[in-house]
Amino acid sequence: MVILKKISVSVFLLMCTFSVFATETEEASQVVSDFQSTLLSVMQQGNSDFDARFEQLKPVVLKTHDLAKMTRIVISKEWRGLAKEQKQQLINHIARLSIASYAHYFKSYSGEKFKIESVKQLSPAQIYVHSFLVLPNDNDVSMDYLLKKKKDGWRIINIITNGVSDLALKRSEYGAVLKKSGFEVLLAEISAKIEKFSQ
Amino acid sequence: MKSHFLIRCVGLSTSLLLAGCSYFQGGSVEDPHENFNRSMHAFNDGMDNYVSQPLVTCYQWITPEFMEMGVANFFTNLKEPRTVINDALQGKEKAAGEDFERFVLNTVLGFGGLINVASYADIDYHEEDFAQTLAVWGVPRGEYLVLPMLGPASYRSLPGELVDAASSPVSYVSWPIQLLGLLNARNNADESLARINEIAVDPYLFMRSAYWQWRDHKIFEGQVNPESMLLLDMDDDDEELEDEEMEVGL
Repeated sequence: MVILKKISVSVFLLMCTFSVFATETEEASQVVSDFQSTLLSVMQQGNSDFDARFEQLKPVVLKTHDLAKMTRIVISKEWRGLAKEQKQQLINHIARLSIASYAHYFKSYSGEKFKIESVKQLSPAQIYVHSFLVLPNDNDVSMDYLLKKKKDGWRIINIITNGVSDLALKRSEYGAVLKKSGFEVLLAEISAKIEKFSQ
Repeated sequence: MKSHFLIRCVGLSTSLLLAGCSYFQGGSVEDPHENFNRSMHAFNDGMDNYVSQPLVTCYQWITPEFMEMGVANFFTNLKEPRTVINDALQGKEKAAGEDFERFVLNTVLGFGGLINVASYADIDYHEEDFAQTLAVWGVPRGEYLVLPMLGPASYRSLPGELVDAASSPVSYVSWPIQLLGLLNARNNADESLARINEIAVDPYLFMRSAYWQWRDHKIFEGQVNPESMLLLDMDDDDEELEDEEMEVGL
């Protein structure tokens, strides 16, 4: 009888765990889905004004991405050596760069759609969403998202396009530029990229 | 007399590289040949800006879109024998069969590969090379290298480049066709190169990171291992960011 009770308690706890994981993966998947819907909507509107696209994407990117965390990971070891104001400036620049790059690349629509293929909980605080950008006359582009749990919900911290991680690319560059050429040079380089995207 | 222009190019490039590597040492543990690689990257960049890019612009200007597409299809089709051989060497029977079928269909019904008939028959396109085969066989990738004229490579891809050039039908056709093949390859890479220039803060580091990731993606057949994306050092950072109350302030 005692063994039976222990088994039923274990099964109950296991079910609770699965149920928590299921809710969490659904929440994370919803974050990605909301973000992709906004991207599609911006593309479908086909607004030729960069600033308008930027302003439309800004609230969604800020809501769905953890840009402070992304900046911290990108800058890596050099982060601790920066003053608080410098850290804030970098976070703002990288946030602006992220939004500007979305506004630059997702500006017109020709039948594209997003498809979420699978969602996997990697750890209690990290979830991986595997999705595709389906192109009408070309191969699908694999677009995967790594999400991190924050106090107020799940946020995107990395985008992996056809196996190439955005965070890894920036991490390989930005820390090295900061170390070699200094803070002001890195900020100027990022500003130049934002300017280029806006043209 | 048949020309071996491409094989010679690869051979010359490899010789220059080996000679260069012995002169230029210095770099990090992560990239021991960084000094040499950066010089080669700058050289390739200059060649691209002053030679390849203007030639490609002329090519795009004089070639109607349907011809560009036909040329691209033709050279993609010529890569199929290489893919079939490497499918077989990696033990991918199904893919080898599909790729052989693609090659025969496109060559026979697609006027020598000018029309991609196989795409209408929904036969998937795969691309395999000998460096991927070596990876599947367990050969370690070795260090990063930038080859003169050819771009990013690794120790593992050096023999791969030579074997691929030798197994490609393009190596055995006349030089104008080989030149057209080079133009087509540069034309296909045009959008990606422009994008790198738009995004990269340090194009050399960007290319190195993108190259390693892209090669892994191809070796693992596009199957990203989600666990490899898990960021183990993040939890410590949380406290630091939250202590400082850092948020975006746009």
